Amino acid sequence: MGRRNVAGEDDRMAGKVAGEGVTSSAALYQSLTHSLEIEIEIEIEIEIEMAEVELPDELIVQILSFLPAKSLLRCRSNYNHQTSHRTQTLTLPLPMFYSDGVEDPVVVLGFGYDKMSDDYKVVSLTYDWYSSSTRPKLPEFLAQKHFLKISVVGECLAAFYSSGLNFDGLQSGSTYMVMVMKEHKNPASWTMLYHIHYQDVDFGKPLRLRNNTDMVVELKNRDMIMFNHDEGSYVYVFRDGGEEEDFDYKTYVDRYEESLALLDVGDSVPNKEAMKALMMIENQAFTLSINLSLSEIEIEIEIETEMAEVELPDELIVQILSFLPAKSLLRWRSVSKSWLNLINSTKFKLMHLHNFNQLNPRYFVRRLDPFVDEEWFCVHFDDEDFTFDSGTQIELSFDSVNLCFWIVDCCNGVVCLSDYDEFNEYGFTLETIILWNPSIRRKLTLPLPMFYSDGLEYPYAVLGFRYDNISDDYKVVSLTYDEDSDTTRPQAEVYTVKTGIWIAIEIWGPKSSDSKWSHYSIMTFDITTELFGEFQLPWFLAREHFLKVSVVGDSLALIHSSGMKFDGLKSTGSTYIVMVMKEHKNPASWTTLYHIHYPDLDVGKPLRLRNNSDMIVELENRDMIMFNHDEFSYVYVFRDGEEEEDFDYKTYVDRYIESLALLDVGDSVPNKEATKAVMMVENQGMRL
Amino acid sequence: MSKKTLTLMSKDKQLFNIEEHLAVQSVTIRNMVKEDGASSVIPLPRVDSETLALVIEYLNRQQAPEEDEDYVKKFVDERGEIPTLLELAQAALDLDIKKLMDAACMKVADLIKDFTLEEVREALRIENDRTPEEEKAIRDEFQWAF
Repeated sequence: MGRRNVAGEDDRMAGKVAGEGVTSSAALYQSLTHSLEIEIEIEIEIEIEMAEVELPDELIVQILSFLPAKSLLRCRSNYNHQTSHRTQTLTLPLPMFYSDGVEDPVVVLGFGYDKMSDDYKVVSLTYDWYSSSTRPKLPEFLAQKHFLKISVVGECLAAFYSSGLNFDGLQSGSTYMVMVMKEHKNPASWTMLYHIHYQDVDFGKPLRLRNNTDMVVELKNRDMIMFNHDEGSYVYVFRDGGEEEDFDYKTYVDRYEESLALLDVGDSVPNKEAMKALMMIENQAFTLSINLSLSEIEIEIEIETEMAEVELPDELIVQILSFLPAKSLLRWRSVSKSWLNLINSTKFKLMHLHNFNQLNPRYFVRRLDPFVDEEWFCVHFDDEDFTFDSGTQIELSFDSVNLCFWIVDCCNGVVCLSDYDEFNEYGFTLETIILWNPSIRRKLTLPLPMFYSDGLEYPYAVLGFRYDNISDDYKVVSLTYDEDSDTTRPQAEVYTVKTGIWIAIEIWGPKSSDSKWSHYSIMTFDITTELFGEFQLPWFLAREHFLKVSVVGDSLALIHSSGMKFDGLKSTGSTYIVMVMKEHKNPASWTTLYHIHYPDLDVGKPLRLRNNSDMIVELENRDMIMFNHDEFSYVYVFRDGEEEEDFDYKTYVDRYIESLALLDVGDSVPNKEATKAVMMVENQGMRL
Repeated sequence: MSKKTLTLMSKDKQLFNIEEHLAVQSVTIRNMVKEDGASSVIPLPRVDSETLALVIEYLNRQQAPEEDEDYVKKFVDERGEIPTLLELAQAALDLDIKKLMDAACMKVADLIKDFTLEEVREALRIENDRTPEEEKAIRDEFQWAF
């Protein structure tokens, strides 16, 4: 080890390894000559004429010795390796003495390259913190100083001393003293190189001398400065630092030398224990540098190399990605070509829809802001308390012409919105239908149904929206009535995202308008077969007005609410009857799930049943309540509402499903409006 | 039926014993046992001993079925480092232990969800075959997601 320096930074010899490494490694050389013609042409881009005589080996070696390590790695073999720009690391076991018996072990590490044995060596000095005795010899007048740093100038060892730290009682200005040892290994040859004082620069930590003896210094705000002592000047290398409390110098500067070292040394499987210890050692680094000022701790050697790990199986990647939020997937479409294809594929979209949302069951709520009359969205976890999910924001960055959109339905991550314009004799007229995927902020504006815009004087459309998993398509169904005529049959048509047009369909089953007011039934539409059907309601609800259809688990459910002012009752509590149809499509299986009366609450509008059959209700002041019928209790989800004139129920609750639907068809939603919407939501967040 | 023991051998030639009725939670091992009775050592040339020890620990768990879901979650939570989880997921994939693979993948997904492009390439060992122009074009489409 002879002239190896315990201080650890003396790796200047490594600089020659890049060149010499190639000549000395017979194996590498061998593999290079195998497929010489192709490699030279493709990788190095030197023009050679094909079928000529081989270039002299000497020449090849010379050329290669000037190439970056990365190119050499590429040239090594002919076949196309999966390479990634990783660095090779080798984790060392801990020094034996360190883990052995000493009560308060402190370790000083040094690292260098040994030219004779062509080997990298780490030296470790382990000693007991309380009985330190070893101190390397230094120039006399520096030997008692603490703030020393070892560096190299040209071929000479240099030591520099810095003062001006608060420890010395000086607040500003800094002094540096730089010494070199002119003759190798001769302490008598220590010579002062320069001695400078900068009045206007706060003291920082000297990092290294460049070969022109310029000094690189890290300041206390992490700025990095290069001093030139000849001209008494300095320039900033980085000037973006900010003041920090508990500041600790972390900047490191050294020559960046490319080399093929460690290429042939085994795998890089991390040894857990060693990693842990490394962290410990790093924590001690600052203490050490004050007390001994000779140690720099560096244990990892990095070079660019071919990755040691094999690629992960596709199946695993697909599985992992399927559990990620849509936003991450959007971002990572540019990771690689295969990821883009994967994320755009129908199969993956379906898998993601299932896996991610099963892992992250959530709801969204659309509300009218009680203060500014604008609609906004928030996301809640599907947990017992319906907890607000502050990490997920939904931005609706296009506006309704009204206070808010009418939400037709939502399914598999796509929300179907409709908007109504001017008032006619019978109500509002349909203005627009939009399919919107909030998780990727894409929307698709639909044309109006054909029958709607076709001849009827007072058209009125009932819309339905679902996803058809057989055709993997989103469908909107529209029933258009003429409000002015009780005798015209409604016209039905279906729009599918894949065709992009409305197609008229027949209405089978439901009776024509003559039975319209005699009793209610539930009209059904099978989204796959596109056939209409009808369910009878439970007999005692067949004439009731205030009915809401929902779903509990896999069953259709029905909520009847009474107590509203229409019944002539004023504020005498509210009654809810919740029914489920136990057997699919069998009206004989309607069963009462629960029947409750709350004497202290004004009736509100039932919005939805949760899977535990809790009921979410919007009250007349826009408060939102969650009923639990088992415990006969309720909790407020929102309680910021105020009494309004002309109150109209606007709150909407549904499952929030993240999906990549509409990725290939929708328009991206404009950006500047989005910013506005964020601010709005944030403002509301504060008030809440 | 007597409790039969199987021996599994890792990539680095370490041997692990496990009772057969527990080992057959792995569909791969179950099929091997069915085919030839698997009397001798079952080599697992792609699984290192550290990972195999984890898999064995998982297979040996004594959880009531209703607590199993939580156990698996906790089991992977405790191995919070991406490389370890990837090794585990890969072993579970090879051995066809679906629950363990799903759980490990979910955990990885959770750890990487806010990563940048470079970070995710690094974590999942993906080569970047995109030119900066292509990358920008895709990025511009959904600027808000970055």
